[in-house]
Amino acid sequence: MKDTTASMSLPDRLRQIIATLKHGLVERDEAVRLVLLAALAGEHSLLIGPPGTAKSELARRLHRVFEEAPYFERLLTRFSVPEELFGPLSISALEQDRYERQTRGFLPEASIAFIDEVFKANSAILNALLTLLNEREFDNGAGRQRCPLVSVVGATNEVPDDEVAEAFFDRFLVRLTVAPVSNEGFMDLLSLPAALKTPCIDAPLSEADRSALTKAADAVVMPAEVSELLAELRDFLSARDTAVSDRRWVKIVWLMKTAAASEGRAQVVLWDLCLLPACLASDAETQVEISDWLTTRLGVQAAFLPERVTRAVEAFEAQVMLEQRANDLDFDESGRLRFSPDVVTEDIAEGIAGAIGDAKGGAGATRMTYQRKRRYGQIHIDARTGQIDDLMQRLAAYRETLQACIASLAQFDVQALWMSRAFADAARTHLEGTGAALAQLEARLGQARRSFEALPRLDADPGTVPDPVRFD
Amino acid sequence: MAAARPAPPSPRLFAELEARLADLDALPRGLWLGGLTNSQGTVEPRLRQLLALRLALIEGVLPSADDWRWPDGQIAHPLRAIIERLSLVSYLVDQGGLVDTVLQSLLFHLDFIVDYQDRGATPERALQMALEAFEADWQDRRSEIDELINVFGSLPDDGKNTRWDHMRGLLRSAGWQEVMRIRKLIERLPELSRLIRSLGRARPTDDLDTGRLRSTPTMMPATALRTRTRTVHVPHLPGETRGVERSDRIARMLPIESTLLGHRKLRLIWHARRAERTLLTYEDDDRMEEVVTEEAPVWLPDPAPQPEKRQEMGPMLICVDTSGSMQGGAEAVAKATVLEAVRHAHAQKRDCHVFAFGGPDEVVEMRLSVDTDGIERITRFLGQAFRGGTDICGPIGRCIDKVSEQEWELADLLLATDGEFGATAELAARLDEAKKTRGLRVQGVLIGDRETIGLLEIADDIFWVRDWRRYGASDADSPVHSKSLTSIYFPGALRTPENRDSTRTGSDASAALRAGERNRVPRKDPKS
Repeated sequence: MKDTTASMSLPDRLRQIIATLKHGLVERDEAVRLVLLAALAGEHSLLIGPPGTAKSELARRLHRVFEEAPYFERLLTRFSVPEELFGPLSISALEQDRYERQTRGFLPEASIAFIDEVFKANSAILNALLTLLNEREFDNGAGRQRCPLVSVVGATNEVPDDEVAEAFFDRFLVRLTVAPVSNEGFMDLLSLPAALKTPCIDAPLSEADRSALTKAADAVVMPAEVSELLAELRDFLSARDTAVSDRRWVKIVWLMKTAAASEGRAQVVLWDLCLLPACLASDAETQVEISDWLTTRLGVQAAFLPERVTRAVEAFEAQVMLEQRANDLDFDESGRLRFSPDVVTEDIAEGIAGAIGDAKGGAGATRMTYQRKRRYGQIHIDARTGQIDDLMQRLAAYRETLQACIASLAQFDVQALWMSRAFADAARTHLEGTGAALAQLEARLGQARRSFEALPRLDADPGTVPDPVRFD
Repeated sequence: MAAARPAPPSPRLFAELEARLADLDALPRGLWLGGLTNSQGTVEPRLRQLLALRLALIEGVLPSADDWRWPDGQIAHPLRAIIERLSLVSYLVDQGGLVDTVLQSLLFHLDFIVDYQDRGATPERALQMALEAFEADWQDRRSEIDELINVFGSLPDDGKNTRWDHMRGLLRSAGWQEVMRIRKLIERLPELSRLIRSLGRARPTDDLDTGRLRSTPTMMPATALRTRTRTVHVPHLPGETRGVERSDRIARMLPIESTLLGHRKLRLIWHARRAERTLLTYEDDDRMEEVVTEEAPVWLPDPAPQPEKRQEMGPMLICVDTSGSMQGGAEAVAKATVLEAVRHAHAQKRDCHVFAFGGPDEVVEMRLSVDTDGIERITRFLGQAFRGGTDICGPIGRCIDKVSEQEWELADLLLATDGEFGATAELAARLDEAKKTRGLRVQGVLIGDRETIGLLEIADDIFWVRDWRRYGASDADSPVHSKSLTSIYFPGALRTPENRDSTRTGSDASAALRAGERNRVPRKDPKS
């Protein structure tokens, strides 16, 4: 059993690992994925939520993913002293005039650590902890000790808003709000067995697996379109006064590269951006806003109609209506066809908006008592249908773009490890909705084309002189 | 400081395709339909060129036809030549609305090329026809624009949505000829024009109006004591324990530190830590709230009444006497007053409302704005002859009502009349009340030979157009008047110094009349 799983490819192994990690946890899908991904990228994650929301359980499961990963766990209180985290002072070293801590079995020698109530750390602990999280080094006596730390999972009930906490808070790349299960998940929660056994990972990731992944992530390409979108997102965030440190942007890119590498891809794609909200914002509200921004920008938030091309279709609809109504008697006293902006079409062209100037239908409204329908020739109709055909081609290009987008999502979805199911489903539904809206636009344009063709026609010129009118 | 929320992002799904039509957003909506569906050329160059043309024309530049992306050179060259020939560009500088109308008309006429072809014209001839129609259209319109600018100073509605077909008929009417004549008349009355400009109370001028002291709440700076609470840090103040910190305080030392003291070597550590203030100790919550008072600048109301600034601008209410006695020159001056008021209102974007009063219950109210309908109303009003009685009470009452509306709160009243009327005591009282509470000012324009008590009572200031007879179109039916004739027949009507000394002032007389002492008005005190 173990051999077979070990021989599987990394993405498949990860898929299995995720499934195992999730086992028995209700509605912790996103948290499991992000915490695992952060650990793979060598980043720390912070779980924010009320007590009893499986935060510790999640962290405890994480260390089983890694082979030979020393695990360290501690609950901090206001009265915690450095000894509890970093180990006691070594007395034998002291007798040789060295001031050192005995770090074996404590945080400086752990690979995966879980620190509960992480913001309770007092200043005596805090500075050492900051260096440890950031540089993975620990000042011990005369020397600096290299730490094998891979990832720290922090947990807290709430984030205090003072300066020190902020610096500390920024050390965690992934910050997730963990809420109690929803009403829908409640039934599942009740049906869980009383003594939930922490599941065993069949084939934990070895040191070699991790360094292979790091190497692969290093080689992952960051395409320009993703970078551009990140730059836009940065503008958006600075416009709403959400500060994101430069260090964090660098780490975010690394996280996306790791995600791509772990799925066996050679480059980051736009869909990887769905990982970002948890990395960029500290509170759930802002995360939702960023998520909205991203999905809107990717075009997967709701079925939408591209505005300008819609205007073009509406213009042809308005034009055909004008020409159907046009009256051949709209001439002014000098015998020219009238041109009067603004009398026209307020009733027709609300969508295309405002005062549209064209008198082909225009001034007739007030003088309806006697009218003769305007007639059109082939050249006129060809000119109109020619313009419509051009627009049809444009619409076809829109459809192509949409198809490409749907295809890329489907392709991504097949191998996606980190994208949540809900996101993928919503995105697909909305893209299909956009497809339907485009189809409707095409239908409207087709209808306008037919209406142009059905306009009343000029009589063909017989090419002969008419018979003289006879008087009797 | 909260920054303004950024606009919602546009999806980048179709961004590239949508960007090809980006010029649409910059175009005014009136050009959308023509720009999108025109039968000449293709959409993108058309929109691009419309936008470029529009911006250039507003700047007052006509780009070279070689640079036009639309329509093709065969059309663009003659088209540009036409615009140049009509010197349209000089009309279009800074006239966005008019530029849009020109471009709409351009799209309209070019769209007809295919229809001309359908009706049997060769392509060359069809193009020719479209261009001719465009040129003829704007040839006419240009002269109409000239006339309108001549009368109103600038184009109605900034050239937007002008209903040209309607306007054309209007400009050919007899009423318009009268408007033109009256327009010329104004040039001979520069003081009248200056006077109308200074009406209204919406904007303070730089000079003070010492006649009007008002105790408006003026704030002046002062200092006052203010109290606030603050939290201060008091080291070692006993309080609740907050946590653990490093210090040298033996009293607050953690028990674990004291274990060091028992070891022969480790006690040195303890001493070292104490010296370095790194003993683990309990942390006090050593903060205290205190109340402090400090001086701070405040603003206090200044009780002394301040002279107000003299006001100008704002809306205008105009009462015109259209009684039969005004016929002839006085009528022309009255009409000129109205037209001038409308012109100023238009140029300065002020509101203007006219009451034309004749006999009892003969009040015509008009809101005079410079747009197609407004011009029609002005033309009709200026074209009609004045005949009727003189009932001042109705219109003035209406004016007072109007001033109490918020929109007209800052309006001033202009009264153009020959002065031959009298106001009832109630009305005079009401007007006084309005002047006192609302600050209404009444400017009289007297177009006649004598001041009457009625007018003196009502107006704060009177501008006397003494030479009104010179402005009549024809004064054949009015008796020849001159100052000397008046002095023969009505020796008391002229304001000679002798007459002034021997008569009572208007206000004395009216006060006496109101008091019912018709026969016992005190003689004017010669000393005063």
